[in-house]
Amino acid sequence: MAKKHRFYILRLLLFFFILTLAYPSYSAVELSNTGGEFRFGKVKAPPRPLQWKVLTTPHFEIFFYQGMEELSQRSRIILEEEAFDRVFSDFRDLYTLTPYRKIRVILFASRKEYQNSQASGLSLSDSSEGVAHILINRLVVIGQPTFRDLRGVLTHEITHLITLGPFKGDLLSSMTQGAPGWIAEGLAEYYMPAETRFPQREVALRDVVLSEEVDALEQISQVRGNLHYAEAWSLTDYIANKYGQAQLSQMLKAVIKEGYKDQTFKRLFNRSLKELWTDWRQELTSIYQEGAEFPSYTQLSSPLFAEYRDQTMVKTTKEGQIFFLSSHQGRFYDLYLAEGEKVKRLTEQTVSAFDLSPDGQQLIFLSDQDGERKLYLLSLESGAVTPFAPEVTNPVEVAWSPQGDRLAVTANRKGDADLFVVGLDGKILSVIADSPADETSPAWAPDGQWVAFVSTLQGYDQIHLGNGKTTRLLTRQALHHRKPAWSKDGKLYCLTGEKGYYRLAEVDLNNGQTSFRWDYRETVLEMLPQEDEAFLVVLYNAGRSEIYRFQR
Amino acid sequence: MLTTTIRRLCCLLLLLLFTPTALQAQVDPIYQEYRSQLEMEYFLPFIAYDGSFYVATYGKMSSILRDQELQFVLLASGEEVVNFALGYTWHAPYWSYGLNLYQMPIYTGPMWSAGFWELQKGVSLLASRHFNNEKRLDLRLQFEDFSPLSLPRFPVEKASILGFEATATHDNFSFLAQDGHREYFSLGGAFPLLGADFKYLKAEVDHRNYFSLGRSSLVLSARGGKIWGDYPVQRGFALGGIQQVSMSSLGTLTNAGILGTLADTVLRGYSEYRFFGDGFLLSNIELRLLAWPSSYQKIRGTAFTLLAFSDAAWVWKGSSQQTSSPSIGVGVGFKFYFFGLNLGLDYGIPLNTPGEFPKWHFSIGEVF
Repeated sequence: MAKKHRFYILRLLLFFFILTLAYPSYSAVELSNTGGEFRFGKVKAPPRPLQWKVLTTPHFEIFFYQGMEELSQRSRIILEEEAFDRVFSDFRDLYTLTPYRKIRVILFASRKEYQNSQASGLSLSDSSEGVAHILINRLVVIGQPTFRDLRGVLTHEITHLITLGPFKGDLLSSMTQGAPGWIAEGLAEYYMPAETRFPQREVALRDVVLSEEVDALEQISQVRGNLHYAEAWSLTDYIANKYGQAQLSQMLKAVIKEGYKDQTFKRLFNRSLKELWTDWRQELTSIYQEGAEFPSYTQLSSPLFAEYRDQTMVKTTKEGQIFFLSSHQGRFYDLYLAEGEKVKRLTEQTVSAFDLSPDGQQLIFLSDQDGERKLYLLSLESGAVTPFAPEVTNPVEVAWSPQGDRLAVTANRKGDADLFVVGLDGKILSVIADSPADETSPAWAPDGQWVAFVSTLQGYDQIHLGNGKTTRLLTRQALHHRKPAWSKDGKLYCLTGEKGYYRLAEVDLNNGQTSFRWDYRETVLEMLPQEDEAFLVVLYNAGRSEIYRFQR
Repeated sequence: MLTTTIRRLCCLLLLLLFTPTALQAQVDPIYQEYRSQLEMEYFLPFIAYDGSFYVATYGKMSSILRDQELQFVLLASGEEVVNFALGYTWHAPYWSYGLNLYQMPIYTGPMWSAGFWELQKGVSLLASRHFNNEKRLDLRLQFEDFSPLSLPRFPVEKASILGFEATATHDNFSFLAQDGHREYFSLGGAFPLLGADFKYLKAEVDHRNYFSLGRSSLVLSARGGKIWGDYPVQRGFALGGIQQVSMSSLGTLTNAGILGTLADTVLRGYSEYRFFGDGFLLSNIELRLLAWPSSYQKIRGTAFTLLAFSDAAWVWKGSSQQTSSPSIGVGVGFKFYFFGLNLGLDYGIPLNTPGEFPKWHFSIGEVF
């Protein structure tokens, strides 16, 4: 009888076991996954065949494919000469019993190929830049448009593997609930070099500090966007500063081995979780005070296109048409055209950058639809799309000259972003900047003689002017200066600030001094000068990036 | 002189010895070609012993790039009951291929209602051509032996089937924009080879259009199917209630869209499995209002939708019509969207079929 009972219990267990397996895979029986398992649903479709190679280094195996030899070497340098030591030295103690195993790093040239790979294991709508698979000691990363971004993403992802890898036995045997999201992601963000953290994350953090809506630890641990990443980083940074960086390793170990509970934190820091959160929250208020005294622009004005999320890269024509990118369809990004109230989608493929011809008849856009980043011309009259192949490979930004005869193209040919001027036949006419650092955000002066661009100097993004023969450093203050843009009358504007607060400012072309033109509390993410000191600005507010009209 | 000559020879020898090494160091291949091979990724065993072994295991092997995957399940109690499933996938450029071997008790039908229990043994070969993210072609060849298990509410035959299917699918629906359309056309059949028992041809078509009206959206759907020949009764078309083949049954993928199976159908206001047949036409109109939050673009994990619908279906068995002309259901309902999972509850009123009364219908997942 007892045996019969056990038999039924086992059958019940087996049933739930099947159910558990069936739920994520939707089948207990058909375990091969060709992508056609479902009637409907989008499928992963690799845009081209990839010939994979592997580069073996002392601590890593770097997988890459055709055209990424330079990128793999830059990755090797970042990983071996910078990131590994930065992280491993603090967590060496975790490897006394568990030997270090080489981490496998899989590089993809573009978001399109990353999303369509089985290696990433992610959905097509996923917007991450990389993913770390702790249990199998592997990370999958998109080759970033700039060297700075590549450093950041690689360091972030290997931090996950180095910090959590030693505990995978605990995770597999379910002996522990693991580390909460805020610790796992906080560590990964903390060990990134400061200048490589995505600026928009701190913008999101400042926004909730000012609105007094800082998330609780449970919410942060969901890690569902820029804000949670920033909160996780900020709290980890607070702990490292107050209790010492060496405590991070101890905290991780204690949380995994002893449990994520007040007792653990009381032993480590003499503070409960709630008290720790409260201490950090109080400090945040003092860090993110700048701009708090200003009125809120989003309460005085309404966004132009409220239904469209993640709006970015706004451009206009003389006729009043507004072009912008948005992830409205769930894709990063689609290009939209607004004429009055009417908004229509112009592209059926991913667009990451674009610019309009001066006559407003066509635009040039950047897409990784075919795997590699490529430029395409779009006729606004006929809708026809034709490839545009400049001599420079791997373009990441483009700006059409005011005279319409040249393009400034930012391209990543050797692992960092450099700036070129190319003719409409695609031939390189001049090189504006090609240092080992990144040069980005080209903006043509109205007379077409100079290109303003951004490059980092002593930890701050600064605006430079270049014409292919000489380069001149323009801004010098100890603040970031980004996204330069010229007005038709020859005034140069940029976004300047730090700690998540960036304001519209005019740059004095003689001495590089900036004068603020934005006295509101919201951070300006982008701006486009219009006639009569008017601007279109992309503002960050409550998790949304939206276009507003602004006039001083 | 001799010394000088010896010195020169030594130098030459040293040069000969070291030069190749130096050159070799420079020309050594820095990169190696990647050769895909399977490695163990997970192995989750559950084993009990009381004179006999009871085993429930799941394992997965994959290559580093996951261009190859091998998954297996073993469910056994003693020597009498040994069930298993094994699936191998190979992702080549543009094409993916799959092979499955299985012997497994399978339930087909909604989890909260009665359906079919059967023991399935078989092998399937799959190939998928992915033209782009929105268009694909799926090919399938499958041999399956099935027999009834326990006391099914609906009869299951004991037989075997050898079938094929080709399905072309297009799906550009965007959940965020509530815009786009989904459609497939499928042609399949079975042949009495290798001892298989059935011979038939099956065609299915499904088209769904989604129109965004700001906070509201309108969904229009038209589906149809026809089987010609001799087919297993539990693989025919069934309408009534919400038949979510791809969501609610464990056995779906052995027969999801294959070998003449149950298509996803929605005929609210009627009992589950109310109509069986070898041909059907179905149309649905559903008007949805996003009650919370104010826009699909603002969904951050949870959402609540109200809806009103009208479903109409015709089902035939041979030349005999099983439904009214047509059987119509109307009603209202709501959907709760919870981090990617749709939970639905609809109240349907049958309009023109005697003996049917209003009913509640629960659903999990995207019904349409």
